[in-house]
Amino acid sequence: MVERSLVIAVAPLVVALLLLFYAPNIALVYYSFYDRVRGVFTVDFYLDVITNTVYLNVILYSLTIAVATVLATLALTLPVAVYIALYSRGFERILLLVIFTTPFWIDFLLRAWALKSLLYMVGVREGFLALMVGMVYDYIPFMLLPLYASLARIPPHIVDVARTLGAGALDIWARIIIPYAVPGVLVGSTLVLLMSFTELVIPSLLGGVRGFTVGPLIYTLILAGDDWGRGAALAIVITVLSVLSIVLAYRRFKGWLL
Amino acid sequence: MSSKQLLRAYTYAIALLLYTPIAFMVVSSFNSSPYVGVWEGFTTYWYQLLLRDSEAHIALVNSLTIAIVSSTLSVSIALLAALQVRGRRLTAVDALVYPPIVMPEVAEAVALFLAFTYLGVEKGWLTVMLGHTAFNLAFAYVTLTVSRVRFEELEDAARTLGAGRLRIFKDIILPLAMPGIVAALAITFLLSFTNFIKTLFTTGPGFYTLPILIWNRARRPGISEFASQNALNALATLVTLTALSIAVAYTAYMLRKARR
Repeated sequence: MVERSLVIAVAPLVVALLLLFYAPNIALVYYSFYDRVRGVFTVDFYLDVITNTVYLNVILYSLTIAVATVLATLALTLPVAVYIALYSRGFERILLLVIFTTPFWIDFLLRAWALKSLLYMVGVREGFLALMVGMVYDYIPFMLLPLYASLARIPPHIVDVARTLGAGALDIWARIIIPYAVPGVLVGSTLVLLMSFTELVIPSLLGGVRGFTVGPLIYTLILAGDDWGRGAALAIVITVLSVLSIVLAYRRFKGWLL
Repeated sequence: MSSKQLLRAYTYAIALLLYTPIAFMVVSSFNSSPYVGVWEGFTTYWYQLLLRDSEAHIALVNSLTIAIVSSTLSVSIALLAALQVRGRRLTAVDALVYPPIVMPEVAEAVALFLAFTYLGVEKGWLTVMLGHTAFNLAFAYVTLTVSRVRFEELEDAARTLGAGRLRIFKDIILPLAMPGIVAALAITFLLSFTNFIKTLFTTGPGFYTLPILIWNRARRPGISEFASQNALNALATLVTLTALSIAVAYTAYMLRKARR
C-alpha cells in the first residue's frame, strides 16, 4: 500500500513528465503514420525509411562513424583510466578527475566550434577527417569516466601483490585490468555509440559534405524540408535502434554490471 | 621509462590535447585580426564589440531567464517528490523518469516540435523553456534521489525534543537536503543554458538563445563583423568561462560539504 502523502508529492512530477515528454511522443507517433498531403493514415513513411537506399545509406554511414568513434575513444582513454585508477594517488587523482570531467560542463557546440577554429588554422577543412577528430574529441570524457569507475573498484595494491608473486605486465593486463574494465567498456561504449549515432552538431559544423548523418537528415526533413512524416518515422526508428541496443547490452552483461 | 611513467606522460598528453582547442579559442579572441591563425597583435576589440552587439544581449537575456526558470521549476517539482520518496526505488516512477534521459535528443526535439506545432502554440520563450523543463525534470529527480536527501533519525530526534513540523523542515530537512538541491540546480541550469538541439526545434522565427546565435554565426562566419571568427571566439570564450565558473563553484561547494 502506497501512502497518500507519497502519491500527492509525486503527482506533479508525473503529470509534468506526462505533459512535457510523453504527450509530445504521442504527437511523434501520430505524425509518423499520418500523411498530411493525402489526409490518410499510412505505414509508407516507415517503409520508405527502412527500404529507401538513400535513408539506409545515411543510417549505415552514421553507424559506421559511431562505431569508429567508440573504438577510437576506447583505445585513447583506456590507458588514461588505468593510470588514474591504479597509479594516481591523493591530490593528483582529484586533479586528474577534475581535468577530465570539466569538459562535461562545456557544451558540445562550443567545443566543436573551438576545435573548428584550431583545425582551420592547421589546414584541416570541413570533411571526414575533421568530423572524426571532432567526434573523438567531444566523446573522450564520456568513455573515460565509466572506464575509470569500473577500474577504481580494483582493490588497492593488488597490482603490486601480483607483481611480487611474479606476474608480468601481460598477466596484469589480462588477469586484472581487462576483467575489471569490462563493465566500464560496456557502459562507455553504449553511451558513446548512442550519442554519436544521432549527433547533429559535430557533423553539421565539421563534416561539410561528408557530414550528412542521421542527425542532420532529421533536421533537414523536419525543419528545412517540411517532410514531417519521414522525419518522425526516422526519429522513431533511431529511437527503437537505440533502446534495443541498450536492452541487449544490459541483458547480456547484467551479471557483470551488478 | 617504467610503464607507470609512460602511462603518466600519456595521461597528461591527452589532458593537454583536451584543452588545446579551448585555449586556442581564448587566445584567438584577443587577436586583432578577424581571422584565426593570422596573429596581428593583442586587442580587446572583440570584447568591446560585444558591448554593442544587441543580438548577443538579447540572446544572453533569453538564455539566462530560460535557464533560471526551467531549473527552478524542475528542481522544485523533483524535490517535492524526492523528499517523500526518501531514496526508495519506486519502479513506476523510475520507469517514467528514465526514458527522457535515454531517448536520443534529436528524436525528443522532433516530438516537441510536432506537439507544439499540432497545438498551434507560437514558438518562442515559453516553448523553449517547457522543452528544457521536460528533460531537466528527469535529471533533477535522478540527481536528488541518488544523493541522500532525508535523515529520518535526526528528524525523529528533533521531534522528540519538541520541534514542530515547520521547525523540522526549516532547520533539519532543508539544510541537509541542500547539497542535493545545489547539485540539481547547477546541473539543470547548465543543461538548459547550453542546450542547443532541443532549442533549435522548439524556437520560432526571431527567437534565439546564445547557443542558437553562436550556431547561426558559426555556420556563416564572416557574414558581418559580429560574426567574424574572432568576434565569435570572444563570445564563445565568455559563454565557456560562465559554464566553467559555475562548474568550479559547484566542485568547491561539493568538496567543502564532503570534508565536513
